Amino acid sequence: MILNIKDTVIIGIGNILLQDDGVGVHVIKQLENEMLPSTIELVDGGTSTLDMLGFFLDFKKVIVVDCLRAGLKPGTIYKIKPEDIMNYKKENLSIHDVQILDVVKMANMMNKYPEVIIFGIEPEKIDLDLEMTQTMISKIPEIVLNIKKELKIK
Amino acid sequence: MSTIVLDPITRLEGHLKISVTLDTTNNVTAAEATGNLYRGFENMLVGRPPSDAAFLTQRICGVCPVSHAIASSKATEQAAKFTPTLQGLLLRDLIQGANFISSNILHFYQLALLDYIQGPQMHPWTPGYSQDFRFNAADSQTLMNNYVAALSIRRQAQEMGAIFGGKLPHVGNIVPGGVTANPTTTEIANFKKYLATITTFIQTAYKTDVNKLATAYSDYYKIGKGYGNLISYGVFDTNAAGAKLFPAGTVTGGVVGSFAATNIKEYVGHSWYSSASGSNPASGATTPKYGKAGAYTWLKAPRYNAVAYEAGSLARTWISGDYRKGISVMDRHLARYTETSKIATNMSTWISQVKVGVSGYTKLVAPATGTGIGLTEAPRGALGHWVSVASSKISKYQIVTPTCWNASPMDDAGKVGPIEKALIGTHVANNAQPVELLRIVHSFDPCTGCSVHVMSPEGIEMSNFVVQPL
Repeated sequence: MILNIKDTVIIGIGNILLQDDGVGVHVIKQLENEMLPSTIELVDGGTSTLDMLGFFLDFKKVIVVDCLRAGLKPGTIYKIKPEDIMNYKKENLSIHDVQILDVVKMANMMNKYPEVIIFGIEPEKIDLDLEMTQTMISKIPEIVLNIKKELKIK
Repeated sequence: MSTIVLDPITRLEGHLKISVTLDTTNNVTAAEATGNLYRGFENMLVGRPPSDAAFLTQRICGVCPVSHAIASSKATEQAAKFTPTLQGLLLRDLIQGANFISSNILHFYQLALLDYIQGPQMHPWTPGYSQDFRFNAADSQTLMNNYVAALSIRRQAQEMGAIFGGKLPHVGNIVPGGVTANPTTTEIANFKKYLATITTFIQTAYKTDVNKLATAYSDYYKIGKGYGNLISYGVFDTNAAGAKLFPAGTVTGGVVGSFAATNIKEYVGHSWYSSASGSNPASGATTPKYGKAGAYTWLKAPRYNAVAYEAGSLARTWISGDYRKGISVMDRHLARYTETSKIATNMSTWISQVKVGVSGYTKLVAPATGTGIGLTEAPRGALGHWVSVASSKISKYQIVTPTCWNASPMDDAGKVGPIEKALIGTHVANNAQPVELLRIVHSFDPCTGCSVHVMSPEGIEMSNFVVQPL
């Protein structure tokens, strides 16, 4: 529908009402101030992960930023490619809650295979608050840097 | 990265756990629904301008943000004694209609259908149940093809909603005062184009598939009935005087009756709250007390005249007279199709009534004091926001979501909630694959897809099933 010169989309996922859970959305807000190249689209996906499918169909590269609880130190940044874990069959690997992987599979079923990179951030606290913890706030620049590095910006 | 262990419980909206007890003949004798939607979201709104609520409450749940924005806007508008123009109401209908279509199609194809057919043999569809699949290979393939087609249609419904809703998924244009959109000829033409494609899918593929399901699983007309009481607040304003495509009402013991918000009371005898039990949301409070004796959920138990009611498509279509065949798992699916088709047809009327170059927004002077109730429907049922304003700030805010009605716990009189009631009496053929329970829970379209984990209790006769979202 729209003539698009953009080839990369960065999607922030999370609930801004739940403190560190909203980190993805907060990263998008920061990226809006970073004067990124015009080939990059920024999306505040909020809590509607399954609605993000369209972006996986239209863009060559999709970067997802989300809160990810794996048990390591709060503020730990994880970088995952879906293919690293998608077909990894192990009893204790519970990927059913990772809706974003469902979306990747749905895109694949529609014959679209964008390059997907997930930046997951270990939360310190998920509670009712619009403010993230200091741990998480202080990590934002590092997350932004990692995304820029991934996109080879500067 | 073979050492990663993921345990991502980050999507807290709509986490639902179901535990049931079985007797020696494998029939469900007791059921408990545990919701983790802690109601403290409402307390966060206190002290903010009323107009903030339409944006913030959308964030509570990613599945029906549009309905939250509308309920919140309506509550503030009532407090300000204001009604949007017909243009504003029609634009809301079109955005909300797009959301209903998108949500109902997602529910049937992406969430419910895989309880009946086997998905591709790969993650995230495996490991899954292999129990009670009745379609032959050809029918399964057709349904899977439409599963993929539905993804595309659903996406088009989203894009259609964004034409007047602004950004998605959390819309920016629905505010107290109406809709801040000024339709152009091109936008209207694009909207009609999307709608035509979507309507064709609904009235061909969706219609055929839901009927195919109903034929193959006709025993599910007798499973998961529950109380049989239905409630709707009404949705889709068709004029500024309050007429609605699906009117408000109740169905009690088979009799269609009127609805009045004053008859709603919320009980917390079995919920983790210490606030008073049995209050109307207008005067209700939300004080958490986790671990309270006898409590097992963060959901309160809303009741209408002290009785438990089921909310959703079946309630809306029964009250409107569009679908009155019965109340069961399969009736819920057929009612959802019936309503989707009716909404699509009416959206075509609404889009032709929308005026070019006329804003849907009228400047609303925020109320300094007052109270308001915003009632609408989310795809999965009755949604209400209750607001009190003092010194131009929110002094009290209460939200009763559809899943609060359907997945509500036992009330103070010992009556279980609608989903709990629908599970009780169900026969489970195979303890290791309690697909019957999953199908019942899914038919209510609770906030998120659910999976069942079986916990082995000490005793031999009793099993414990726990349903958790995907």
